[in-house]
Amino acid sequence: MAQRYQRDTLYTPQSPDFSAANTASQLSQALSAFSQRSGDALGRRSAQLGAAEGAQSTGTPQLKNNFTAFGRAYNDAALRNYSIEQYAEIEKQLGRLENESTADPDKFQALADGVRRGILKAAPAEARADIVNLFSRRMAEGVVRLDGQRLDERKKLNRGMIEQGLQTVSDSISRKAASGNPQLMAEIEEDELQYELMVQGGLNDGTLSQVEASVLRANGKKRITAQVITGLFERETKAGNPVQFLEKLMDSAPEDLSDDDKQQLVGNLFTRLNRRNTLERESEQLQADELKQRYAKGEKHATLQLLSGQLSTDRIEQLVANDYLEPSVARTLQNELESGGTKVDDDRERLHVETNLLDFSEQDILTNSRLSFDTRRALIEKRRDLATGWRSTQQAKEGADRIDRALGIIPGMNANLLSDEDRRARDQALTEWYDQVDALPEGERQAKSIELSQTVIDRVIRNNAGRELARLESRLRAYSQDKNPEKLKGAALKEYQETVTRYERQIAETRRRAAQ
Amino acid sequence: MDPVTAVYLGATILAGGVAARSAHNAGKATEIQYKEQAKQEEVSARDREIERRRRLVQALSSQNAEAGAAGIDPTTGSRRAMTLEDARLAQMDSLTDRAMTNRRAINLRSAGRNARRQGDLQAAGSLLNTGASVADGWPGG
Repeated sequence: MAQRYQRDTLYTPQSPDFSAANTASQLSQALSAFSQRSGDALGRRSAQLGAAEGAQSTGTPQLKNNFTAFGRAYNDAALRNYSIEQYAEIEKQLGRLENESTADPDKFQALADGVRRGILKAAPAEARADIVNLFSRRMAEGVVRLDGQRLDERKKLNRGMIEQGLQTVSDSISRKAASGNPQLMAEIEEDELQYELMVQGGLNDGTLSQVEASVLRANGKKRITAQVITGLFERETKAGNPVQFLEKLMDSAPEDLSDDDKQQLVGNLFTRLNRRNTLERESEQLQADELKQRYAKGEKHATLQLLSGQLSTDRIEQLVANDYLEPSVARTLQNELESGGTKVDDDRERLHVETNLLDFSEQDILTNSRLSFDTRRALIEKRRDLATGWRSTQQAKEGADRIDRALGIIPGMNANLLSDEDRRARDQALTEWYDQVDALPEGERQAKSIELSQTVIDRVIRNNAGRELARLESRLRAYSQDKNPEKLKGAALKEYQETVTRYERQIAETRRRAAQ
Repeated sequence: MDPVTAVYLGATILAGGVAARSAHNAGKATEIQYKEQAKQEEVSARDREIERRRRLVQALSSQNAEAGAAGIDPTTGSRRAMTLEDARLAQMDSLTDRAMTNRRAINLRSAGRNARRQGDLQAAGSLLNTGASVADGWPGG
């Protein structure tokens, strides 16, 4: 059988081999992903740097391009800084304006609006919304606060007026109640009604709360009661027995006063009583002092008259009658008047007083009983002459002080406080000095007084040094008398040598002073 | 620029560049594969044509031999009709295969071009992404 043509079988094409392409594609995808992540990390890093740099920005920020993460972060941080600064500035400015606009919100708003315009003008556009927000919030707070202040002030003012009015009315009620006058007491009811109306008015306009009104009513009653009691007490103090009044008050229980109030009132009344007593005592003391001064003046006057021979019994009587002389002093003067002033001087006292005349006051001389009247009168006249002569000058005082110092006496020390030896030495030195100065022509005395005092001092010191020299030599002799240095040994010999050396040194020094 | 930022920046640029290059290479490799496949199709079609002719010659030879043995003129009658039928079928197969091969080759080359374009686009996208990342993260704004 003949073979026929065999037709084509179904052809299936092979697929291309994409393994290399797939590998490259996967590598590309992986690196793309890595690049994406790395880019994100770079962005975050740049944002961190931008935020850090923006945080350093102060004042109006120089904003950067928003295209990059760095710029965006920088701008955010810088604007945040700027907003914070502006908030502080707004707070400061509005705080100041708030203080300036005490209780006046309208003024505050007007001033704050001006500040707002100024701040917004200088602010970058990106920050304006935040600033407006901050500003509005702060301004609203200020307005609310100032409104509250205004309200409080009005309330305070109203309250003050009400309290003042209430006090006036309560004072009026107390005065009338304490007066004891029936006509005035009849008016109390009217005053009480007025008081209540005032409290009610404060309640109605919101100045007072219910509690405050109750407190005011109670306090008013307390004050009136206390004032009435005080008024009665004052009356009792002037003519009556205030202590008994207080005892009664302690025992009683006045209406409207708690126990504490009563104790406080009693304490106040005691204080009032004590103050009054103190004042009375002060007044008596003043009167006594005045009388004492009058007596002193009268005694001096009478003594002077006695010394000058002008005092008479009639005159003494007159002085006693006019409270110028104490009766006991008057009796003494009368006795002296009758004795005729024949007393003899104490010469030593006379020398002392005469040489230190300016150290004694006229009163001291007048009352010096160791001198006769004639001597006293003469010394007083002499003292007056001296007081206007050279002895009263500053130079004379300096000279006297120097003499005192040279004698080892505290300058100007009262003669009565000195030992007899010092007193005698001072009197001798002063007498010598006075004689030397008085011997000069009158015009040279003041100028040469200090110089001459130095001369006197030198001599006195020499004399003193001479006496000291004799004393030291005597002591050295006495010390050496019963000691033989050749027999002494060790510590005894050393002590002997040191003592002798010390004496010899002191003797040499004193001799040098005596020779000057 | 601080070292950390420099490292991030370098890594981003390098990775982006290599990713773009790889995307381009992937596209190119795909195209080569498609082109190679198209050539393979054409060679395979020639082989199939030769095989087809061999089968036709073999059938015609067999038919001539049988007619000669039977003393029949192969160019007349039913013998002639059978020969013509086989030749026509072989012609049809050839035409069909050639048409299909051409179409497949065209499709493969077209797919290769598309793949290369796709790789290039992917590479460009990668470069753009990298550039944008670098620009966004560039220190100092």
